[in-house]
Amino acid sequence: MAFKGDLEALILGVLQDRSAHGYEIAKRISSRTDKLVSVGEGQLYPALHKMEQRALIAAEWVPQEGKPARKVYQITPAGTEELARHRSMWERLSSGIASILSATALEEAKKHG
Amino acid sequence: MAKYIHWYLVELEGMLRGEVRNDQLHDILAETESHLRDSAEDLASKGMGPDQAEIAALEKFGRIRTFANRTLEGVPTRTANTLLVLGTSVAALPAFTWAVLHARGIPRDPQFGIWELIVGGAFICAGSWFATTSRARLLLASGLLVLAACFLVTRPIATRGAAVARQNAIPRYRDLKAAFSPELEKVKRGVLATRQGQWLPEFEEGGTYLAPSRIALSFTDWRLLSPAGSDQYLTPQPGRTRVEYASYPTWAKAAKAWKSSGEMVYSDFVELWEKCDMFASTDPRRTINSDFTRTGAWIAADSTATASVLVLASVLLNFAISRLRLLLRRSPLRAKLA
Repeated sequence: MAFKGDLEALILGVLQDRSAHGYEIAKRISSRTDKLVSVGEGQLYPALHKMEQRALIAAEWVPQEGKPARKVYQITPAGTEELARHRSMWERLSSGIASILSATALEEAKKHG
Repeated sequence: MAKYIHWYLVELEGMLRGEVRNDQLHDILAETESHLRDSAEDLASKGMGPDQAEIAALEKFGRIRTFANRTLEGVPTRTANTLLVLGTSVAALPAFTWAVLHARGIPRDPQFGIWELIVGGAFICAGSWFATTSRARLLLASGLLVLAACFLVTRPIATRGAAVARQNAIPRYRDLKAAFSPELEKVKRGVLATRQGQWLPEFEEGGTYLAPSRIALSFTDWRLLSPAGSDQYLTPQPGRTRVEYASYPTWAKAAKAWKSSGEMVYSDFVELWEKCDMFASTDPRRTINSDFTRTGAWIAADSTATASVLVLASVLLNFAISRLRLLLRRSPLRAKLA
């Protein structure tokens, strides 16, 4: 089993707390993963547009004073369902990998005595 | 606006203009500008100079060409839409004309050209409108639907049409029935009949042999003429030892004459009461079957293979054009950053 659509899952995970614009999404992904995961900013927007087409997220333009308007994204009910699916898949994958790694570690510990 | 971000946006606009709708282009540029300015301000607040902050923000965002390519992958492009519309319009055209116009008894020539233009123009206008207002995904699906319908509709109609009419026209079935009805009525009343090896006077005109296909519309009708119910009906004249019927299509049998040696000597089925002059060839090498096959293949090619090739070519051409556009556009900002 592979965990596909990781960028999509990260975006949905960030947006489940509250709505955000693109730059804020990128920053939140980086900060919440202690900078372990960094999203290529140029990759983010095509992904956001595709997710918007699939109605996983919705967007609206929010005007700002003295600055260009921002496009703010929020998760939709379909996006919440998709996030739950991603989360389930990730938990199964991570538990599977953890079981293998822990067993290997145990065997190695036994070998080395 | 900060000059580096401005340059980036100008280059990006140049790569995307003409490929996406103007409102989409505006949204993409506005969102990109907002992001780059936020990013540059963020970096500047950490102690970078304004120019360095802008350049760093652009580097973090990625190359223009890469971003433009990724954006185009997710957005329906005008080139793709237009070419797909043209392809599917051309594909739909023969299907429509053969299925609707010809089957209703409208001859191909000379009116065909006019109808073709009208229908083709309507298809292209509707398709162009659709292309500018819809998504490529839907357009591709509709194009495939048209192709499937084209294939399904034209094949049986093409075969049927070729068998009962002149090559470029398909008379209505009821017209053919009407043309033959006096003879069929005579057959039913027993006025007309055939005997083995002999034609009745009604089937001779000026000493010229006339094939029994003149009065036969279906296998049932043939049986009325043939008490034996056999494929070998008559031996009308020396040198024409037997007559067979051809089973294309089921409701319109035709006949062909053969020598006893097996050579086909007569395929001249001219004028079925001026309604259906099917085969005027006297070339002994041509057979009815070959005519059917040849005509059917031509129509099938016209409606399906040609359409498939056009649509496929349009997709490939669109891909090549979009990539070529991006390759040919050189970015001075990229060179500066390098």
